[in-house]
Amino acid sequence: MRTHGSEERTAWLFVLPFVLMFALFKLYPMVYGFLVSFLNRNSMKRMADTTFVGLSNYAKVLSSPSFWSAFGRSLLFSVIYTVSIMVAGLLFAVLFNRKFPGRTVVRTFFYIPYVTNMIAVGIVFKYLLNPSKGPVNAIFRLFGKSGPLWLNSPRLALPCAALIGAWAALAFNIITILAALQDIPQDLYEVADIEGATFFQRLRHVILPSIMPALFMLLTITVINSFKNYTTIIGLTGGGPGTSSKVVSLQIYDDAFVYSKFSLASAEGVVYSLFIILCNKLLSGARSSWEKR
Amino acid sequence: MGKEMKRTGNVAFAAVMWILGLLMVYPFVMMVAIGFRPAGLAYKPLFEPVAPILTNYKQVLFHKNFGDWYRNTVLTVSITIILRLLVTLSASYAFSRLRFRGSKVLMAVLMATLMIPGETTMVPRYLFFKQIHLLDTIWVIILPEVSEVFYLMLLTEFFRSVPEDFIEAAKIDGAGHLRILLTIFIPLSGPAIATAILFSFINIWNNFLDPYLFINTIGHQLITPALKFFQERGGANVPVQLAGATLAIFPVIVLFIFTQRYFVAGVSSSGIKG
Repeated sequence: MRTHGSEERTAWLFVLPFVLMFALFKLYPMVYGFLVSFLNRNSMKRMADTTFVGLSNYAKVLSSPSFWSAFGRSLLFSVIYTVSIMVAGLLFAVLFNRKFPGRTVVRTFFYIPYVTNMIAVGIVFKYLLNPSKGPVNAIFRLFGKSGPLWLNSPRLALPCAALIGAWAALAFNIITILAALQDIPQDLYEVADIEGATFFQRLRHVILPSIMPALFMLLTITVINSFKNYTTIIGLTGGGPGTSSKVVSLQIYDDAFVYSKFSLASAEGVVYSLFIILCNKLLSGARSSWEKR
Repeated sequence: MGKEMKRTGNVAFAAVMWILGLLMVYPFVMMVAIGFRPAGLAYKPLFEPVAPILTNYKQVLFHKNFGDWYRNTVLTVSITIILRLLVTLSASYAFSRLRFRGSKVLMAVLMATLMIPGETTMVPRYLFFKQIHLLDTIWVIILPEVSEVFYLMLLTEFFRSVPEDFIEAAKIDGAGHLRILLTIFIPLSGPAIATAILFSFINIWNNFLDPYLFINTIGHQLITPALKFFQERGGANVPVQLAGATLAIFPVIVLFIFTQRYFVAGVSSSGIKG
């Protein structure tokens, strides 16, 4: 009994530094944001001069057309990002699972975008996609066409940003799926070979069922990552042209740091977080119903 | 005949993969190459020879704050890694090897916060860090980065795989938990610690949002947000911006090329075990 108590004390001593730092710098700001969202700190006034205003910030957020437009753009960004990276990740992982000369080098090429930051990526893509002079539209000019405006087009800016974000993060999905593919027992492939299965039959009956748990996990992580898009948008479009790629994270930034509406912006943050948590719940629900099937 | 076809197929497959791979790095090739061109010739096709110039790279390197940005970034990365490892290694030992009440609940709370992106909490973080006078210093980046749940999961998972026999022997010798952690677990965890260091380096080096929000004085800034500043307010033309981008990502890419193994190990474990 005595030894048990001492193990308990030691354990808490060991986790204490981590837990304290976490509570102070991670958990407390989350709680603080929740509290601020119920105040009227919507100008440069000091914290002491603010009062409790109940749900009025939430009412404003939920009835604000600009918030819902930003929300719609965030959703569109996340859908394009998630779908393209999941499909491309699966495709390239399957391709990389086959040996070919120089595979290690080519794989490194695919992983390099992942370790570079989106500001640098933004600088080079703005150059490449420059509508009038850039090398991408040079291909269009070769055929006497003018080519799309890409990041300068109100219609294309957001999808382009999502695709470039997916391009940059693709390595994560490839590596994860490759690891899952390498766990598939070799004899499953051999059975498929004996039965003369085509590539797509193999994909459907051998590969996909074996890596489904990993894919679900990956999908959850990818969806969470798709909401971390502030740097991607700032690096590529700055929210423009106009407000055509202004997603929720930019809206929160502007409301807080341009218009000093700290409480309103906090409420936007809470609403957005709740939405992300809801997405996660739906995904884990889908996962467990798939497992029970 | 069939063999011949298979060979052709293999060659074609390799060729397609190589072309796709080169397309993946094409933007970076352009980044480096156009950085060597005068502004007037930036949009000339790559295959048209242009006498390379060094002025763009020099303009970035000799910017009066460039040294500050690099120094601040290196300091932030190094201090964060040291503090993070100290705090995380000891917590991981407790979570993987010691039984204590509330450990499961604690882990669940820690993991639940993983899904909340920093974007949604930027306002309260700004207000809180301002209140405790942390803004505009590298500590506003370092202190919140010390306790990252991802690294706790990574090391806890690794510690769980250490065979119990190692510890039993040490316990018989009368070693306490601190000594077991220092003399058995840490020496055995080389690969996991290398992964943690590599990920920390890459993530903090590339961090944009936090330093952009919390650091205002340009001389106190880190390299990635400084790149944005340089692009917007530094009045840099396109080749100078590209030279700046090259210099900002260079250390990370070099580090990555030599340590890819740990990177792949880290991503695989984080992806599947969640």
